[in-house]
Amino acid sequence: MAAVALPLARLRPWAFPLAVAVVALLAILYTTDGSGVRLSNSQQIGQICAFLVASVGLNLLVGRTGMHSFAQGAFLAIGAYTFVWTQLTWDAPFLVGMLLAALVPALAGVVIAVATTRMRGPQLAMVTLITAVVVYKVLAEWKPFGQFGGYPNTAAHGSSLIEPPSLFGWELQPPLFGGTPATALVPVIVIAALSLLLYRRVAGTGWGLSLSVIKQSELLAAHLGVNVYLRKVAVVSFAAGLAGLGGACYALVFAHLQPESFALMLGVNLIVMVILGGAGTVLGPVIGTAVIVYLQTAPSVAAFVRWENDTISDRWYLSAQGLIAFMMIAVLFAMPAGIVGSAQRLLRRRRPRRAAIAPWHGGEPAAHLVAVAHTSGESAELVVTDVGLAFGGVRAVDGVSITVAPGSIVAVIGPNGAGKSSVVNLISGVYAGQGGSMHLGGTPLRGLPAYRRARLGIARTFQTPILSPELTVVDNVLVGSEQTASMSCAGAVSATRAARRARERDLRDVAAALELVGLTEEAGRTADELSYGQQRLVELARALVSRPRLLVLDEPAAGLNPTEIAALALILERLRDQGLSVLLVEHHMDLVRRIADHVVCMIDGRVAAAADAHTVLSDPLVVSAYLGQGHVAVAGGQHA
Amino acid sequence: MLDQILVGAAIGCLYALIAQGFALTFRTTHTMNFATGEIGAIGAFVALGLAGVGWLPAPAKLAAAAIIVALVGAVVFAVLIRPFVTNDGHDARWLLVTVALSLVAVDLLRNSQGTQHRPLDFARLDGVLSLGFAQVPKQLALLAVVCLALGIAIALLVTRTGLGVRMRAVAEDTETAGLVGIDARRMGMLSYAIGSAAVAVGATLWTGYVGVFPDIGPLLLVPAFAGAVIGGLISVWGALAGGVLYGIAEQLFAHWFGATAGGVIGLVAVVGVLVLRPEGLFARRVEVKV
Amino acid sequence: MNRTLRSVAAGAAALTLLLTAACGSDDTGSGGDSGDPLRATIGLIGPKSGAAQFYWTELVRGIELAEPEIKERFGVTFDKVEGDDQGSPDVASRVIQTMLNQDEVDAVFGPSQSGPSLQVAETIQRTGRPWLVSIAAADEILDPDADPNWGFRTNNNNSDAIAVSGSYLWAEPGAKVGIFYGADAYGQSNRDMLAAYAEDNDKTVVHEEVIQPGATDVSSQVRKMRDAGVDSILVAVTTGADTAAVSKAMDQLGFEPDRFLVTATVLAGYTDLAQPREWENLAFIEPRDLTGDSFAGIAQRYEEEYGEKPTSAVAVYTTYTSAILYAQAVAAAKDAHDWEAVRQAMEDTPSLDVNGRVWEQPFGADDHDLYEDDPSSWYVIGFDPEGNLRTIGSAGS
Repeated sequence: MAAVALPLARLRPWAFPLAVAVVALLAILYTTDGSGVRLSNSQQIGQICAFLVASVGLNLLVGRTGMHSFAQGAFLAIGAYTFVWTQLTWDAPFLVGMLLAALVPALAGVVIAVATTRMRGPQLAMVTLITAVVVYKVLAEWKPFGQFGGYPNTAAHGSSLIEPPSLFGWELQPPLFGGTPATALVPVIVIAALSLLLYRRVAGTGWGLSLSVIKQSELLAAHLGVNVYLRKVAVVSFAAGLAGLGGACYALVFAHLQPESFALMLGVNLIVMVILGGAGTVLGPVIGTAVIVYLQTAPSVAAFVRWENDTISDRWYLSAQGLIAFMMIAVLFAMPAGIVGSAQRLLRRRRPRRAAIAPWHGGEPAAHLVAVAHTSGESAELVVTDVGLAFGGVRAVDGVSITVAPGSIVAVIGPNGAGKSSVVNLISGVYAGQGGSMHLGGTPLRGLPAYRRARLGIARTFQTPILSPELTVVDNVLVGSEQTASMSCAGAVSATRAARRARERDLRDVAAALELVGLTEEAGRTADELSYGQQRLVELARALVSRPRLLVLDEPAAGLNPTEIAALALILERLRDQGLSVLLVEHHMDLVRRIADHVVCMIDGRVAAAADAHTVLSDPLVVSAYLGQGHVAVAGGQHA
Repeated sequence: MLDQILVGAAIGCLYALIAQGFALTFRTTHTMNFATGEIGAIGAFVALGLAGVGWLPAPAKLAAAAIIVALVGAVVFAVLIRPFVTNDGHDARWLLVTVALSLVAVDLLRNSQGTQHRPLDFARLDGVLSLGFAQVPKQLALLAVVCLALGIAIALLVTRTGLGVRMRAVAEDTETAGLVGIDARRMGMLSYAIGSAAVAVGATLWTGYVGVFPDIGPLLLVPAFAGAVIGGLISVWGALAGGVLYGIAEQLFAHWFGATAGGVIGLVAVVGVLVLRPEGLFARRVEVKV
Repeated sequence: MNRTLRSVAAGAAALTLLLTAACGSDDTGSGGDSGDPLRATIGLIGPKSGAAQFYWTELVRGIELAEPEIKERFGVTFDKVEGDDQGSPDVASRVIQTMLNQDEVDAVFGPSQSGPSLQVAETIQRTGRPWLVSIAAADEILDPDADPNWGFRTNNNNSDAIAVSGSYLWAEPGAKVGIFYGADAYGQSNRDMLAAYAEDNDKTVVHEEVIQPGATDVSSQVRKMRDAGVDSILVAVTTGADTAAVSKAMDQLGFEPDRFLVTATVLAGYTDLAQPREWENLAFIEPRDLTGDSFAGIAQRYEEEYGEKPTSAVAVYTTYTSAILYAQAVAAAKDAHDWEAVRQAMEDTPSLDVNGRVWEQPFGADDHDLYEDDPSSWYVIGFDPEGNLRTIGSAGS
């Protein structure tokens, strides 16, 4: 039994690529047979593949990064026209044409991404909408591209079809003429299959995971060391490049371009395809694209329209476009995650996903994690001297100094509004702040953006945990690893041995972190299935796998029950004992009393008292500040 | 030149009114109806249907169309959009539902009413209004006056009355608003009803000038959306100003650079505004909270 | 409430999918090999859904109106396969493949619009099937170099219309001609043709202005046209509404050129949207006498049959013409399924009689356009104050 199971298990990673290859091969065999009867279907398959390449790119934007772009159709158009242009004006080799068809839209994508960095939601939608409209207008009105006469057209180019390009001596014939094998579909289908595999690979890498983090919270992404700006530019450009490639495929399938095909509606359709199929899933765009392209001309839809006309009315009825839109609404209601996404959820509910991770077997996990941290740096002392922060005249932080020595836990306490969280935000780089200085292990922090500070070894958690609900616990923790921050788009695309080894190392760190916080059992569940307390622990684990030199925790005990708090205290003590520096903002005095080596009490933006826990907590000034605010937590007990 | 500014401002008033509908629903429900143009088309066709009712005076016909469309708007929100109202800024299913709704509506209108432009036989003014220094077609002047009056009335309603405060409260914090007895669903329906009715009146008066046809949506959506976005999205006054501004800019650019290039430049200018001020011209930047 | 809604939606989704699956493909045509040689399977392709549906309606009705006459005169009957191109070129491309290769139609009528026609032109030509271009007018649809040429156009093409328009616009020596053209396929094509005509005849187009389809106000363009000193204008836009926008602005600015020429698209709803004083001076040229017996007779039969006026009587007439042309050729070739023979028969048509109007030897090996650009065979047409058509005279005089 085991002998049989072993090779199967080894084949497992290959199951998906193998299935894709088989389907692609079948499609190629079907379409290149040359018989006229199959032409319509072949064309449909070709168009599905062309749109698929573009919608796979869009899936990275919509499904992963949460950027809703109407411009994908415009990038597809740019790619298609670029490709035809290379063929018409200088008869470029096929591969050069493809390359340019991807590059030109990718560059356009960079421009759009740079222009929209500060925009979100509706503003972003507006700009992409405008991009789609403008590109369409330019194609429709610009003389060299044949305007509405089509590109190419008989008047200017002598034929309304491009010459079949040749690849390795093969003529790539479009699926237009009976008796001529549609060889152009071979590269089209291969590119579609490759783009699907590419998406699957990229989505699983640190780079791909970082996109999900950006979707969830750009702030979090920055605190994991991700340069959000560059990464957004990269993903928009990458998606645009894929759209361009899809456009070149489109040109191969139809061999002629009419601007009407690339109006705003195409961009809308591509979004619909992604969401209908299931945004963020690998197979979603395949299903979405196939369903929509098929239904546009499906005989059954035509039959249904006739049925409507016969039985309901020959005026009040829906035709293909309306029916597809109606179905879209129905799917959004019935399957909120799209066809594939909802099916996956249903399956997972029946059969919970197994953790894609081997449990930790390596002794003290805290030792592993912090030892890793120590190899990367010398001293990790945080020295904050005399920093301030003002919001429009209100001084939230005023001349605060804090030092966190390696291997110690420093707690910052104080009544609500005392400026505790502001201090944390100053240290992690959310706010720039005014005056004073900040150093970590001697490196000045002032002026560095959050992602640079994260890369220097500052990891933090947030008052309310920020997790990606649809990702598993493992993935949510894995995003904390260094690769999320440092991997490049190119690194995500190419699979080097080094990258694989780095990933294995990261997974070991994740296993250690989960073991430490006691979530090994939950590794395979998605974040939205966890209790609140567990979610906080996932955040802590995520902070730990970044190999921090300084751990900053913003009210980690809030919302936890006494058992969970006790467990948390134990974890923090284990980490400190391994030499980690911990800065803790906390209301929960029991916890502070138990673990803090040093306590700083802030009142009205200033340090009111700083000493060991016992001294500070019995300081009359501190007591009155708490009582004066109506808080009675000094004596201990639950605090809201 | 002055003529162009006046005409642009008049058309801009229509954009402004629709943009205000966007702002109104966005600040109350964090959603917008991308089928707004089709809502306007429905209003125009209802008005066209009422044209045959001879004894009804024109304002009453307009009002009747507005009321019917207001109901449509409220129902659209309650049934189709409300299930997708979340605090998650990345959940754009409401956007897709409204886009899909626009496709269904336009398909139904084309199939049942035909695609031709048809004359609206009332609320039409012939001739030109001369202001001495400039002149503007009377119908466009009427459009501007009615749209502007409606827009100001709605803006006052939203910013100066208790109802407006309650709408705002829903947007800020649905749960707390619910605790003090404000029904988020009713507020959402109300904002959609007001927005839709306004669009219906504006679109109907406009079709009095250009004819009634099903495909008016795309002609109104992009300019109105642009107006709302440069106005700041949550500001009803900003949307009014943004819409008028876009109308003038569009007309002037078309005048200076020709209809094609001018249209493109107008749109690129919107992008330019957003690049410099992503929060729009008339809204304050919101600080990030951690 | 939410739950009910969700289940209803789920039901609707399931139903839609079920219907999609269950209806299956039951609309395959009867194929090209039915027993009766005079029973032709014809494919009709046009925008059954989309923003220009009336072109589909007129295509179908034009054929339907011709069918009794075809049966009686030639003994030919049609089996029709319908294809909805949704006004989209790529959908048209797929639909045409199904028609040509699966349904094996004996002839293709349409697509109605230029964009989809241009997309499929080469495919039909190379596959080889009698092709009746009855509505779309862009010149490039029929490649003059195609040999044999399978396409036959029974509408006038744009360049012929422009050639005749040109002679009308420049009738006065020293006329200053300007053009308003729509930012769409039709407008662009007309603009290019007029420029080409001017160059060939040593004239200049003094001023050009673009009209965005659906524009509310075009006074800026009209003002510039007037300021350029133009006294003879051509308006080439796709809808009557856009023509109305131009004439409205002309009226407002008091711009009254000597010649105010529009195109036949003005027939689609213009008089509903404009005032009689705006069209006093307006005229368009047509290779058909729209008030003559042949044309008006068919328009009248249309009204009797369908109880409404045609949206585009021209499209009905040209499609009617194409049906007669094709059926006559089928009868001459004696077999609808011998496509090459039918094509040859159409090319060799000795005489074509459409409701009393007769063309002698209308086609040749390198002439597949029914209409010629001889101005004397064209008519100048306008509207009377009630908005009815009136034939002003021949374009040749």
